[in-house]
Amino acid sequence: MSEKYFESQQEDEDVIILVRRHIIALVPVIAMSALLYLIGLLAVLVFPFILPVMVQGFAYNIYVIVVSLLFLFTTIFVFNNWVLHYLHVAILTTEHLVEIDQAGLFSRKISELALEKIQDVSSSQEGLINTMFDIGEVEIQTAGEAPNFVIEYAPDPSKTAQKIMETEEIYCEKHGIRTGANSSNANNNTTLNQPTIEYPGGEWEQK
Amino acid sequence: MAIFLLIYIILCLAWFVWAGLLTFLTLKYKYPDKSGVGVLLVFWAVSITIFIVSAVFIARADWHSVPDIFSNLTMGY
Repeated sequence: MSEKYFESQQEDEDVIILVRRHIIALVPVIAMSALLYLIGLLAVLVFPFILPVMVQGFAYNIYVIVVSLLFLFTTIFVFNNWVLHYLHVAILTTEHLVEIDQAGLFSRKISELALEKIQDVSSSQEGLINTMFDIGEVEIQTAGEAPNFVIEYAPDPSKTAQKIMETEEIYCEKHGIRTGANSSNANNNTTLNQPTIEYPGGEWEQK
Repeated sequence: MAIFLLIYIILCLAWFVWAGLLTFLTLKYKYPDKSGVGVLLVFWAVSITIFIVSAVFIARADWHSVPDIFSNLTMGY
């Protein structure tokens, strides 16, 4: 291991996957900033030709300042949202599942969950856009009073959930633990490693 | 006329504080994949280009033709 992904990462703890929200989560920001850039470009390229009187003397000075500020603040608005997107991650390691939530410039929350506390992992995908781009939500149910982990806009949610389950199984086998997701299979239909098959005609008969 | 330039400079300073904080955050919490640093460099390259172009246009503007709003306002009293 060369560099740490989070503060409390142990020396022998390797990162399995790093899940960041899909770029589609930034579409409203991208659309809004594209509109603002377009307004700025129209102001530079079209406005002087349709209203030449307005870009002379006093009005011209105001025009230059307003357009400059529009471009500058739109750029920083995009970058601000990108930084929050970049710093908001879920990291699966050989020992933990860590969620780093960067809600604002001065608002950062790090939640760590030991793999043995994972009880169940489920993934869901709703809507046309999510299905098209293979985006969804991964929910990790935890044992005890620990709050559940939810990874929103996760790319390839079923694969992510599968990876979490596999890592949890390896961890439990390594440490001789038979709790968490392995013991909850019998009662939960959404568990991924051993899905319950419901056969409408009666009992499932394996041939 | 100076009031407009003053407002512009104050807003630019606010912009720099905001950009500085974002740069600090990106560098402080960057992940070992270093993908954040590339976007940070692009951001600064774009911003500096906008600043230079703006500065050229602002320097070319005729600031002597701008009426002094405060002088005009106080003349009536």
